[in-house]
Order: sequence, then C-alpha cells, then structure tokens
Amino acid sequence: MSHGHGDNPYLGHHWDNMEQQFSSAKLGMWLFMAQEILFFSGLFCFYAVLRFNNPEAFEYGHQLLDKIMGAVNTIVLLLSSLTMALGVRAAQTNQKRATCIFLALTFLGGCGFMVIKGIEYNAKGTHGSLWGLANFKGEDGVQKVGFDYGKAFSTDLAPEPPAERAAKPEVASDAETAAIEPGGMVAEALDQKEVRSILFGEALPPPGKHGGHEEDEHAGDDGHDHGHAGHVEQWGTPPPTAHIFFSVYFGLTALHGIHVVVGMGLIAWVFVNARRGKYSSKYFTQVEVVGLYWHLVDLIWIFLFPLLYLIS
Amino acid sequence: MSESQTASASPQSVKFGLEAPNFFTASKGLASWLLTLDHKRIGIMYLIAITIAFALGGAFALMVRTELFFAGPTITSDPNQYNVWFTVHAAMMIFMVIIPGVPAALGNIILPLMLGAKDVAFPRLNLASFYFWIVGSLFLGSVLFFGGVDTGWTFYTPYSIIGTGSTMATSVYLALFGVFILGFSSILTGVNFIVTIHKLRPRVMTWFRMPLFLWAIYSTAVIQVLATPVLAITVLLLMVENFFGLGLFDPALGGDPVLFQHFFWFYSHPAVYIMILPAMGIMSELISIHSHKHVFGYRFIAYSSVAIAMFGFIVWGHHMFTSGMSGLLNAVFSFLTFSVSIPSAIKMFNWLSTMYRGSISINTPMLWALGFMFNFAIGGLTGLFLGTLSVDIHLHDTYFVVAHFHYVMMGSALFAFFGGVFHWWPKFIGKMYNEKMGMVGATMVFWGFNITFLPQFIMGSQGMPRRYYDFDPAFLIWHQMSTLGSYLQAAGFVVCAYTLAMSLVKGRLAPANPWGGNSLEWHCQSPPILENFETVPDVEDCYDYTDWQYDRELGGYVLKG
Repeated sequence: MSHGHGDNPYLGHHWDNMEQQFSSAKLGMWLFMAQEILFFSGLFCFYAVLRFNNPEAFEYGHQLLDKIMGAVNTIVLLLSSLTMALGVRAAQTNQKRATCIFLALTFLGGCGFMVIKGIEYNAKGTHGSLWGLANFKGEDGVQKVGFDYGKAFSTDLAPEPPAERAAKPEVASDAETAAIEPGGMVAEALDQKEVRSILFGEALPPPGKHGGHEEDEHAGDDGHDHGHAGHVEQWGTPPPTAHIFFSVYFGLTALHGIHVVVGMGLIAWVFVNARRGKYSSKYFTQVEVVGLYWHLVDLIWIFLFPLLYLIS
Repeated sequence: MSESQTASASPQSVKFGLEAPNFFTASKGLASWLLTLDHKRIGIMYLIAITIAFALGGAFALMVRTELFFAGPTITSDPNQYNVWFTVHAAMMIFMVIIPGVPAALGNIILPLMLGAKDVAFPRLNLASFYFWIVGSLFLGSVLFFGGVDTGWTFYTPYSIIGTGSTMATSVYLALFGVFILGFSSILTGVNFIVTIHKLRPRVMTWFRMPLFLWAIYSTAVIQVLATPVLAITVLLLMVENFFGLGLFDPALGGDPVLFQHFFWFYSHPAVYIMILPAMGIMSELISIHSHKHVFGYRFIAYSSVAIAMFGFIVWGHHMFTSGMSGLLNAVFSFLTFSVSIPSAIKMFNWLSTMYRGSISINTPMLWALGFMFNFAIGGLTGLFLGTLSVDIHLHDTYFVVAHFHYVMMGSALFAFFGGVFHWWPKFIGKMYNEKMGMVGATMVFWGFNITFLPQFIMGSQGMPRRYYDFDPAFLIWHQMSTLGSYLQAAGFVVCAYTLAMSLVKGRLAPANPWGGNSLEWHCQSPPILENFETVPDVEDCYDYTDWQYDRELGGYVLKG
C-alpha cells in the first residue's frame, strides 16, 4: 500500500484501488439513503396516525388538491429520473457531451417540478387551504395575520361566559377582517368547529344545510378550474379537523421539495464538473452517487402522490 | 507479512514513539488541526470539546444537587430556574457528551487503528460531522443566554409547544435546532463507521476476527443511522408546530401529544443503546487485555451486540406505561423489555468468565471496568423493576428512575468511556500517566457515584418524585447524602483530569504496547504515524496474548523472539 498509488488523481490516499473507493462511496450513499427513508418514514407514520384519527379531514382535504397537477409532476419527476440514469450511463461510457445534456435535462426536470409545485402552493394560498388551525380558512380565503397562539389557546385565561360565546360568531362573520380578540375562552371547553367559528368568523351551518354566504363568496373563486359554484357544494363542509390534512400535506411536500432543491444543487455541481471533463469510465463516482440520491427523491414522491392526492 | 517482521522492523520507533515522527509532528499550526482530515486529530478535538461540555453539564448537575441539599430554597428561590438546570444538564450530557463520547471521540481515534486502516472511509465527512457537532452544541448551549429551557430534555408536548410571545420560546427553538444538527453529526459518523468497517478491514480480519469493540461500534452505527433520523423529523416537526401551529402534537389544535412521546422514544430508547453499546465494546477489550486472558465467548458477545441493537428498536413503549396506551400494548412492551436483559446478561457473564482465572492487573483502566461491572449490574437489574408493569406504575417519575438511568448512563457508559480514555491514552498521546493518581481518581468517582445514586433508589421507592424543586423533610438525609456524593464525584473527576494533564508534562514516553494487547492498534507506534502503519501485520486472533512478553526496561510488552 504505497502512497503514490495508481495513475488516478481521484484516488484517496487511504484506499487500495479505485474499485474499493467506488464501492465504498456507493455503500455510504446507500446508508445515507436508508437514513433519508427513515426520516420520511417518520413523516409517513405521522400521516398514518393522523389519518386514522381524523379520516374525515383526509377525505375532505384531498379533494382540494389538483390531481392533474400532481400527476403531471409525477411524470416530470419520473422523466428526470430517466435522464439522470442516461446521464450516469453517458459518464460511464466517456460521452462528455451526452453527460452534460442529460444532466442539464434532469436539472430542468427538477425546475419543472418545483414550478408546478409552486403553482399548486399558490392556489392553496389563494384558497386559504394552508397548514394549521390559524392559517386554514377553508372557504373565506381571508388571511388572519398576526394570530397569537400563546394567547388564544392559553388555558390560564378566564372562561368566557356562555352568552358571549354564542354571540361571537355573529359579530365575527359580520366583520370578517376585523382583528380577532385573543383570549377570553377555554379551548378545551369548545369543540374544534366552535373554536374555528369564533376565531375566524366561520358560520356554523346547521347539519345538512350550507350557509348561503359561503356559496356567494366562492362563486368568484377561480383557483380551481372545476367549474363549480362553491367549495361547499362541490366538496362538502370542511370538517373541523381539515387543517390537519393541510399540515400533513405541506409538511410532507415541503420537506420533499427541499430534497428536490438540494438534488438540483448537486446536479448543478456534477454538471459543472462534467463540463470540465472530470468524469470518465475511470472515475464517475460523483455522478453515480448524485444519481442515486435523485432516484430516491423521485421514489419518495411516488409514495407521496397517492397518499395525498388519491385518497378514496 | 508476519508479526515477527513488524517486531524486527520497528523496535526503535516503538521504543521512543513520541520522539519518532508521529501524527502530532506531521504538520504544525492551528489550521493544521482545525482543517485536518486525520481521524486521530479529529478524535482528539472531539475529546477536548466533549470535556468542555462535560464540565458544563457537570456544573449544572452540581447546582441541581446543591439546590436539593435543603428542602425549600437553597441557592435559588425560583423553582423555574431549577427546571432549567436539570433540563440543560440532561440535554448537554446526553446529546453533547455521552452520545458522541465513545463512538465519535474514542471511536474516531481507535477504529481505524484497530482495522489497520489509514483513515476512516470518508475523512471529509468525518470533519464535517465534527463541525456539525460544534454548531449543534453552540445552538444547544446558546439557550443559556436566552433564559434556558425548562421542558426537560424529553421536550414533551405540550410543555414544549410555546407561543412565540413566551420568554422561553427562543430557547426552545434553539435547543430543538441544536438537537436536530447534533443528530446529523451522529448519523454521518454512523454512516462513516459502517462503511469503514465494511470496506477497510485487512484481508486477514474476517468479521469474526474483528475486535469486539468494532462489533459494538458497528451495531451502534446501525442504530445511529436508523434511529436518529426519526428524532430529526420529530424535533423538526415540533419546531414547525411551534412556529406555524400545525396541529400535529398540540391537543388544542386537534393534535396528539402522545404521538410525540412515541416518536421521541422511538429514537431515544435506541439512543440509550447508542450510549451503552460502544461502552460495552470498550469493556470487552478492557476486561480481556487487563486479565491477560482470551475473551470468553467471543461469538456470543459479538451477536449480543447485534441483538441489543435490534431489540433496542422495539421496546420504546416502556417509557410510556403511564401515558395511556392500551393494556395489551403495555404488556407487549413490558415483555419485549425483558428480552433485552438476555443479551446484556450474556455480556456480563462472558466478562466475568473472561476474568475467571485470568491474571488480572489492577490498574486505572481496569478499575473503571470493574466499576462498570458493579454499576451495570445494579443499573441493569433495577431496569427489570421498571420494566414490570405493576411496579412501574408505582416507580414511574420517581427518583428510582433517575437512579436507574444514571447507573446505566453514567455508572456504566461514562465509566467505560473513562476506562477507554485511560486505556488508549498512552496509544494516542504517547505518554504514560501516573498510575496511582489515576487509580485514586477512579476510586473517588466510584464511591462518589454510588453515594450519590444509591440513596436515590431508596427515595424513589418511598415516593420522592423526580424533577421536584422542593421535597418532604423526611427525605432530607438521603438528599444530603446524594449531594455530598456528587461533590466527591466532582473531586474525583478533577483528580482524573489532573492526572491526564500532568502526564502531558511529566509522563514517561509510552511504549507501543503498555498493556499487552494484541489487536492491531498495539502493533503500531505510540503515538501512531500520520498513516498509522508502515506495514499492517497479519493478526488472526486479536485476543491471543501469548506472543507478547513484558519487557521491564521498556515498561511495556514486546513480541517474543
């Protein structure tokens, strides 16, 4: 094991040969991906538990996601995986030009995915279908900025007299944008629906009948092109736990999105190296390893898509 | 290559290791340390950093104990301040000291040496892990400047769900983010070590010829890679929950706080094995080498490490017997918990059998190892009490639990860590320490430790709840004993630190093999050269010490012939 071993400048001093170095890098990457899978498994478990506890939230919430967009994104990501695999192949077979083209195409695939995701996020934003109780409006689409959890849900505050509690929904729905007065209630004393109605001025529709003003508001809502008169008519009244679905949706897709962005960064890095002619049949470890990562990102999306979009 | 070749090739450099070229002299300057890719230097930087964290965490422990010297206010009249102290003590000791202590610090130095490798598989990743540790620790440590965290190290929801308006909020975010980053340091170290063990073993070292420390490190690394990401996602979601109110854990928003406990313990129970398994690996080395006898039941010890790593993943529910799980689930978790005791007992009995009729050297590393055996017996057996459902209902959240996990985490994991430091100190520093001083330090810590925590078993069984600022005067005598014991421990650690520091100044040069071990690290010079070995000897059985004999003049062992 002499030091200046081999003619390959990319061989680290502590390896015997390129083969050992390459197989080690690959093993390392597989282990890192095992870690990634466990990371997302945590999220999938959260998904399972929360869906089991709140099936109505998931049944309601998934309808608001755009299946067409999701499907297109799946195809975009699958295609980018194909170009990535072709890029790795090209690097292994000394085709510098092809390597660069395929890597560039893969990068563009990632861009496409993020753009479509951005459009979807934006639509959710306009609908107010966002994460968390404070951000999820379901229908009215009015942003409630500056909402203070600490105060609103503090159980230290004195319970509100029942009469006032009953009166509040009327007041709030009259002036929807009015600042919400924090405090003055005990969260646990109310059911979720009541909490929302008090906080966000949502009307409490009598069972089986929808509040008229909701339909009016959403007649002009053009975020979705389903040609419907109103959310409530098409998708039914949001259950009180609907925000949980969107918390899970944003949690899963945002973390996946971060992985896509990191992957794009890595692809850009190997693209630059490829243009400099770093890779050949003798050394292509970096392309291979980045390729593995990109396939993992793709694979995770393939789980996310049916779990979030295709709930029956 | 044979062993005799190595011996004949290097008696001179073996004899005066520190005077020969070595990894300390390979390059000079601060940058050559801070940017080094050498596993030994990174390991030493870890040791220094962990020592600082240990001193800080220990100071908080002493403040907690001092506060409990009298009932009612002693050194603070603010109970919340007390909550901050025990939280910071636990978070620092667990995430910054014990988890990286053996694998990242000692493992970094010893693992490639034991393998006869020049470095770990990914030296850059190794340095990155170290800086992840630094950054994570800075985040976790910075909570001290923002009022501290009082949630307990477990960050149980809904305590840890704090509105942005609260004064404690910033600290909770910082602590959670610190834990997140420290987790990645741990994961990357695990990835690195698994690949190193798979790919960089010399040809002659088959899996069942590896030193048992490597089996332990390997099993630990598997847990690090598979369990830590679950903690990462959990604390990440808890942060997001805090910022955006997702409604995952917060019951006020429709979330499930017990879900957090499940996820937290899914990591944090295996994390207990991240702490104890490598310590057990050190024990296997220490007991065999200092008994000068082939380790007993090699395969059983190796398999038991793997078994502990696997069982560790399916017992987390025993932390939650009182959290309202179903009776069936409680019973299943209780049963599985008992199953962990089997591989642990296998190890204990094999160590005892190794010592039986051995020629035992009573020296500093062996004293730590014997301390481990005593403490781990108590810590392990009291674990059975807590794993029993009916008994746990009585003992849950009492000092009995506190004493139990300190016997395992400190009395065992840290004892083995210090044993390992004293055992390998001559190897990686190249100086011998004062044996008498080392033994005095180890003995002081042993007695201090037992005086601190044995009374806590008694208090706990009588109903003293953990994490309480105040207590019933009936417990006064036990609390005072406990506090005095903690001072004795602290003094013992000061003696240990002094011993090691003095060895740098006055210690005699270490021979290559001061204890008579036969695993590969004892075949290279002390301290090793930059690439560790000139030639890697073929060692078939690293627990066969018959080829070595003591050389009085050298003060260490040399190969016969």
